[in-house]
Amino acid sequence: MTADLARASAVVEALSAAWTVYNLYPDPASQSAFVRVADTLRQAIGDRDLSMEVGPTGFLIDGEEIQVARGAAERLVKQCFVHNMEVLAFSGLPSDADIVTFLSVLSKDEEDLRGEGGIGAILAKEGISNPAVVTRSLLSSFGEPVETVERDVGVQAVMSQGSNPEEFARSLLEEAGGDRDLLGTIFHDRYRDVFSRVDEKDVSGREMVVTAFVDAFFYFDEGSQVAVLGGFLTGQEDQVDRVFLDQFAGNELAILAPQLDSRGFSLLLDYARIATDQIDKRPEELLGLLESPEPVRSARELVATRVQERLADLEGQMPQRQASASLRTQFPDPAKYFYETLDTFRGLLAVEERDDRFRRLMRVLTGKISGSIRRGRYRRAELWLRAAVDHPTYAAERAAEVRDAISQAGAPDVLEGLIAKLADDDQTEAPKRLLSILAPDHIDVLIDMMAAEEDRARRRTLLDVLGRESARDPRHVIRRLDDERWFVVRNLVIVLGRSGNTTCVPAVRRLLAHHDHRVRVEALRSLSSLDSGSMGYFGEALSDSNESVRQAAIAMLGARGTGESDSLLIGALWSAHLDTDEKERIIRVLGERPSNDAQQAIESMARKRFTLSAKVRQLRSAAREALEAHR
Amino acid sequence: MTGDQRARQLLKDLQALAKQMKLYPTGHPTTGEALTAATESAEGLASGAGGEVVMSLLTDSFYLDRTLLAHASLESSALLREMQRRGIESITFLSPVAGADIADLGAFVADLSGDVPAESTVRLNESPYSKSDLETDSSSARLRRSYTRSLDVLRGVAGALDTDEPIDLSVASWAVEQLVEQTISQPAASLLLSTMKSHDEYTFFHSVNVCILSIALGRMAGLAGDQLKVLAIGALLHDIGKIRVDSSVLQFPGRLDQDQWKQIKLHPQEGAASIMAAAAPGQEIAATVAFEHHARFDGSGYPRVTRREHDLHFFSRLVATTDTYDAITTRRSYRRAETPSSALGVLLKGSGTFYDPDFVRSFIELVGIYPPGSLLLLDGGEVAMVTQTAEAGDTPDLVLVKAGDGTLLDEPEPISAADRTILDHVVSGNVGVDPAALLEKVGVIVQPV
Repeated sequence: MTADLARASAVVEALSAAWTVYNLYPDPASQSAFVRVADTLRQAIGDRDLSMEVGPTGFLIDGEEIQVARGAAERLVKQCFVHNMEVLAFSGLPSDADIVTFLSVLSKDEEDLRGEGGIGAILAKEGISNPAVVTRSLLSSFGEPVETVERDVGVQAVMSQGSNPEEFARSLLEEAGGDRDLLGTIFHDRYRDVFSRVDEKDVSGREMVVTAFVDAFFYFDEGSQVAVLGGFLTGQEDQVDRVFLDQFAGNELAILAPQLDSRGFSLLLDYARIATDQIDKRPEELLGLLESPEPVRSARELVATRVQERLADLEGQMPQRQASASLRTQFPDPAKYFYETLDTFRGLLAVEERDDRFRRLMRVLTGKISGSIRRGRYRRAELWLRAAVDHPTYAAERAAEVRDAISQAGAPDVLEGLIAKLADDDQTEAPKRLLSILAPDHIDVLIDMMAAEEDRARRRTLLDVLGRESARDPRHVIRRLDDERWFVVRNLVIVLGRSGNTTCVPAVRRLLAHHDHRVRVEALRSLSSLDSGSMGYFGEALSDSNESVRQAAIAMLGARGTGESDSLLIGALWSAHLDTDEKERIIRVLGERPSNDAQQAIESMARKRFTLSAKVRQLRSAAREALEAHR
Repeated sequence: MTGDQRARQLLKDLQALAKQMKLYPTGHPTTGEALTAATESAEGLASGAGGEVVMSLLTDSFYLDRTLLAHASLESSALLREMQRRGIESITFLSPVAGADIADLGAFVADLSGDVPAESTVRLNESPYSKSDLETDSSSARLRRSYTRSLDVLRGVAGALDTDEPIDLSVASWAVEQLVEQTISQPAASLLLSTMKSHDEYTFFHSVNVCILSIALGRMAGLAGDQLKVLAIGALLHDIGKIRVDSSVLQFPGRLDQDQWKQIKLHPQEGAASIMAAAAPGQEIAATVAFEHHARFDGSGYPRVTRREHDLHFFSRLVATTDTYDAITTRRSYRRAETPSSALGVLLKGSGTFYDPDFVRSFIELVGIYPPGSLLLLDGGEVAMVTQTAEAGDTPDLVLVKAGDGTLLDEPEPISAADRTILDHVVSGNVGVDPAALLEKVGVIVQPV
């Protein structure tokens, strides 16, 4: 055994003994046994440095295993090995406290050590440099699962350096040779270079790279940190640089703010201001800290203090008012939820600029209107509708889309619901208004409903609705006058008659020639109301082949009661197209007319002396009765 | 990795394997990769537990031996149900776990086979634990169930939105009813549970947390009954529009460029439109919450909101507060989580401008300077967790969760904060403590808000 091996053997023995004592007692430093083994260890180390490699089963010097009798040594070396120690070295004599701290770190769970950056990092944090350790470089660090992705060698190197950020920081400092500006450049360039080498999809790889650099950053002195930060602040518009900057809490950057030069300070403010729009809003805090005149202490401590201070401020600001009491006065009224929802819908219409999404809102609108009607919530349906059309919040060119969406709400079952509601109670205003809005785009549907409707009340409602629509625009109804079903045409003629729209007259007049007399009768009635000036078609109707038409014509001429209508009736008394009963009816009508022409015609009929036919006698009797009644 | 972490990983791997097997046969390379991952996870779990470990399924939870897998039960609730549907009550893993046996298990879970060989290294329903060994009907179990259901609602809604199918909000209504009930009856436990985080399903967990915090805040303000329920629906769905935002933008590692930011800014209107389309009368106000939760108290946020009445809706202002708090305390892609006190600091900084000062103040009254679930670094280097909000001027109730030497305690120990110095707030992820997972162990006092 060489002298070095023998010395190392004594060191390992003593350290193993210390390890055993450490594990036996809760407060090992106060144990005399520990003090003794610590002295033994120091004696074994002597005045020369000692460096040992850590193997899986024992410590080694230059590849040769150090022979130790104690079983504790085996447990010690295993513990060192699982913590990825490659080298354990003594340079000088460690104090009792150094040894206890080293062993306490060594005793930690592997996971915990990794989570805190590895044994090297923790010892550095604890200020322990003797013994010193060198850790093995691992591809997998910080408890991350072993990655299967292929990574660039440079990336792997940084990742393994990341497990010992202090060492990584030191290597960068050495490379810069103490020149802070050069360090800033090296750090910035290296970071960008390594980041760019990680595959975009390798998210955990990128995160590990960023973490390695960020952690190393904190091992620099403040002057070096400022130098490094400057490069990133200058490049803050670049995504890769931003990733680095975004890892810092605002207050961490704020600590460095006073040391930045004016350009750096200005850039830092820019970063904070721009980032204020970000989700996290952390940089708001940064700005607040930058504005704060007090020296920046531990950031978290500061925030906690500020919370308390601000609470006190709030107390001062609102001495009479508790927040919850104030909130109670603002409670939302559930009755207003609906109106607030409408506001939100209008807000959505105002901000939505994408065509497909605006169409989706239109589908929502359609659904809300029709859904409300189906549930019998007519007022709600109307309000949905008005939310879209009253004082539009959307661009004018969207108006057609909105109209179309509203129109889509008029599904047949929706319209039926409205008609049924109005038929039951025609005093409800909301359904009436809804129909007036929905109907114009659904005239054909309403006509079909009318054609199929068996319920009288509902049919009457449909006639009214269509009549109102035709008053505005009869074209849809007129187009349907060619329907083959006579009853449909008859109802449409009624609709046109009720519309009062004189532009319908030509269309209705054409129906005086309709093959079905029921249509011709309704056409006469409609014309009677639509075209008060002209009566030629009544005269023609007196010659109609159908009795109902002729009787309708007689009745309507009688109701007119003008000279012209009297003349037409008087003329019909001598017409061969009318039978005796119809002429008798004319006589009764004329008998009630005060005009001379009417009276003369009746008198003339009454004066007939020679009457061979029974029909003429019947008419003469009627004329005499009419004269008698008139007197 | 702790046993809990290994179990979570195994469940994720099993879910991936079953999904993969439905698509491709065992010989397919991607199925092979999934199988390898699941086998390694199972082996890691079994060997780490001394060669044998039992994973039990009961009601809404997974158990590792007798220990509730709180996080995994929420995270893998879909797998849990699928396994229960297949009649699995427990799975015993014996080291060394054979890949072929994991393949059999995967095929069974995926409904591709009818059984798993009896003498394999993966055995079904051979648990030595009885139901009474696994406590499932505790108040905390009911609270977790409510949390799970709310998560499921969000997963369902997101799935529907993803495939452009209509969303069904009736289940949301039912789920929030349970959550309202549980939050009112177990406020401290609810606040503790609301510290639950998930990196993979950030939006869903965040939304449920915001829902719990909003219910608690609404309740504190004096809201009751149906109003709380409507508020809860709005809070639960407030971020649902993010489903429409490209995931590469949501997970973008750093500050967003203009186009990416534009996409993010669309999520309120996306969510509002989706909710409005699906909401029944009375629920529609939830769309308002989604639309306005980033609009800011002073109207300087997004989107620009113009209302008949000047202010943002009461619910929107409330949810904006809780949303910010939870977002800041959560680690997201490339974003470190901040401590609760930092989050409160941000709220206070924005009080009166971004956030309604009355809600900020009420929220701080609700959670205190040390919200339940906060982790505090004590003068001896220990880490303690807050279990109960302190009254003004009082100290919070604490349990020690990590010893001064860094050892995680198996059983948290109650300690008095009065004679200790609190050095700092610490972030849960940094100290390896999951506050929500300690819910059952700390037995927080049930006290109505």
